[in-house]
Amino acid sequence: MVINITNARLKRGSGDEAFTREVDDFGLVQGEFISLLGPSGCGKSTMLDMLGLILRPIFAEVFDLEIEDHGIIRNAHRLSTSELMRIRRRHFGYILQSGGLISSMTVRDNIMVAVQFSDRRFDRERFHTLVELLNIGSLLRRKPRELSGGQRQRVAIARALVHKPAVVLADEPTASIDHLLAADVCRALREASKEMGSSIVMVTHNQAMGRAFSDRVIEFG
Amino acid sequence: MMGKLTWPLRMAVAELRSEWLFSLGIGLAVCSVLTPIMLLWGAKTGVVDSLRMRLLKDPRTRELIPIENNAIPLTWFELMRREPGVGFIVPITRLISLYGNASSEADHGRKVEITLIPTASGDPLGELPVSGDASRLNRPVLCMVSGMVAEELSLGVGSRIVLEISRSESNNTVSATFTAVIHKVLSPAESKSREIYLSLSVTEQIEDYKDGRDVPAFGWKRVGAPRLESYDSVRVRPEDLTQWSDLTKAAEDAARTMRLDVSSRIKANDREYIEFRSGENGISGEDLDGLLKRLSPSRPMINLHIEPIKARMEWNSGVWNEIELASSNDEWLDLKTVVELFTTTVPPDSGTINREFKILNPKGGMSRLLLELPKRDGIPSGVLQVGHKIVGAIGVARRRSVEFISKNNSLRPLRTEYLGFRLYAKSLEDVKQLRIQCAKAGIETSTQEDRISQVISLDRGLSRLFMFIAIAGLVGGAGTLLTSLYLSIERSKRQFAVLQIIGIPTICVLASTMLQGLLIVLAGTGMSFLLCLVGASLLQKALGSGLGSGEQVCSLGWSQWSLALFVVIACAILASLAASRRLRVNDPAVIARSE
Repeated sequence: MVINITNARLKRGSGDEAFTREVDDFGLVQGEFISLLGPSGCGKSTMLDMLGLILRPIFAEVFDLEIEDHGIIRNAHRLSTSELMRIRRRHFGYILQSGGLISSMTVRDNIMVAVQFSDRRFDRERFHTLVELLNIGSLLRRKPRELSGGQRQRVAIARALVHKPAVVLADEPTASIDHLLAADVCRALREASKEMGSSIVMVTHNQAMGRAFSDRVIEFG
Repeated sequence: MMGKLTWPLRMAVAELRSEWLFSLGIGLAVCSVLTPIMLLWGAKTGVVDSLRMRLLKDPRTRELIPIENNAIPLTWFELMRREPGVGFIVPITRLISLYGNASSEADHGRKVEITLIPTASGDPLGELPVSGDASRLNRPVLCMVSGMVAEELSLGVGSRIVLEISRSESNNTVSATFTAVIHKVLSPAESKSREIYLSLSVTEQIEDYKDGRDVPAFGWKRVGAPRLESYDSVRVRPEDLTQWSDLTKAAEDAARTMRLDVSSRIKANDREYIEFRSGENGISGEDLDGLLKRLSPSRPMINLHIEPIKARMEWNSGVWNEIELASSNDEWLDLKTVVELFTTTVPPDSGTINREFKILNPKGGMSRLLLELPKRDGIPSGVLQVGHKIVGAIGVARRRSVEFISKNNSLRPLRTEYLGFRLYAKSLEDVKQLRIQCAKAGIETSTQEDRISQVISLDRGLSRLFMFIAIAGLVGGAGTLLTSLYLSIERSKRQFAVLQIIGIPTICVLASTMLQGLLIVLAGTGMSFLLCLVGASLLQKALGSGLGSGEQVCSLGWSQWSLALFVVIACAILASLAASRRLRVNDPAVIARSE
């Protein structure tokens, strides 16, 4: 089990804008692709942020991580912010809705950022495999503003996977691109992750997309 | 590892290139604020420096001139030499000038009247080597002459100049001459009249001559000049021991007439003698002459006696040995020999060597003796017996401050106070303080404070104006920088949040924003530097025609540029830190997802 959470409570915001999400039981197995489905505002992204160690739960009975080099980390939510950040950059990959690329850097530099800070050795073969798999070889010298929406998401996928993370977290990766391209992106995400041996947790409001590509679906009401 | 370390710089450069127009705008803003400030600073420095240089070039600007005669003790000069504000001080023996005539050794026909002025080590007008001091024998006297003297006598550095001084002797005017070698010719700024500068000891010896004393160092003798001697006692015994009663009676008569103390017969160390004494000042040379004249019919044997005197002897340079100087109790001379002691000149003995002694007087002060001693190995210790010829001089040295050189029997009083001085402050700012200090010691001086204070006032006024403008510019420039960086970070906030989400340490993101700010200001400063070079050159061409050599309209040195760079970098860092506060977010995911 890569991530195992039991009886956790999250809170985001304060005052009238405060939002609480409770998680009874969540488990992510290695290589698994899970989609979190639900309408807007139901707490999917909040759940994703907790899984990605960005948001710390105010309570959790169990919050374990099993990752390479660390073995099992119990009560991961109690680790320091800097420790969480270190685990995050080494073992997690992120794909945001619009890609989240650095506009001033080239595609290649954007992908390399993840490797440079992951403390892992740069695997040239892995890089080229990803580039080929995602069909972005001709885009490496371009800047993000020169790419289409689908191309940006492919680059974001490459950045998320290049450092061999245990888990890839994708937050509405197809929300800003059209339906046909969305399927391509999801397919590319699934294939690349399987190839690289990473688990995926994807947030989407597109039920069909989620069910089509995931191994498991969790619905939020 | 290298990638992680250089990432902030690469990120900063990438952001600057991506927003090159924005970056250029801020750089130009920095340049436009910095350039006029630096040019103004340079102009202030240039103007004030030029005026200061003119004051400093003329050493007389820093001079304090005593207005009237004062009795200034030697100790005051020693005190003043230790004052941090004193650049140079040398005593002078009189406030009215010491006059003489000068002529070229090659052409005695042309003479000019000159003023003789003392100089010493550290003189702002120039420095004579130690060998210029004639009290060190057998070395040439060196001097500095004013340009006027050099021109009128057609002389230059290395030329020999004959100096003539005169005095009255028995209602007649007599003169003495000596030759000096010109070490330096002073410029018109340094000396505006017919002046010759000599070492203090030479001018004092010239004073001694004018005051009627012998100056053996130059071979100047006064006929009939009194001998300076002092004996603690004069001992006499008859040559023929059957003549005791005649000698005793003559001694008593002489003592009564001359008001000396006389003892009865004393027996000591297998000798018998009668001893004459005369109070605190001892028996003088004149008294000795009178005494010997009265005792001569009794054909006495004479022993000139001084009590042992503690002295310090210089064995090697800087090495001093404590020793006692004493007369010999065993040396008895007949009358003829004693008379010859003071009337004949004995050539120097090649088996002797000059040694310097210092004697402290009971009333304070110090005497300096240069005595010829037999060459010997090892350092003499204990008691050193001196010959009869110099006993009297040593007796004087115990009672007053003198300088005695036994080689030429030169004995002259060492001065313990002076009537005036040549005093220069170390800097323009020290002049006022020294004037006040002299006034506190009762010495009124005249200075060029008015001229100096005008320059200092101008400097202060320009400094205040400059500070006001600089602060206004700095505040404006820093504000512009802060706003620009703040807006830049605000635009990139989402991007920075994404970086934090994927785990880039906040410090790296902060470093990249700081480096962005630094690179912009460095570029702006560089542009300003080039513009100032051009600006300063144009100002010099336009306004520099009336300036002297080395003077600049706009003067900017490396220290000013370093300070400007330091301030600019500090502003950039502070502005970046302030703007970077926007990066410290608790929930980067919310920002990353925001539109």
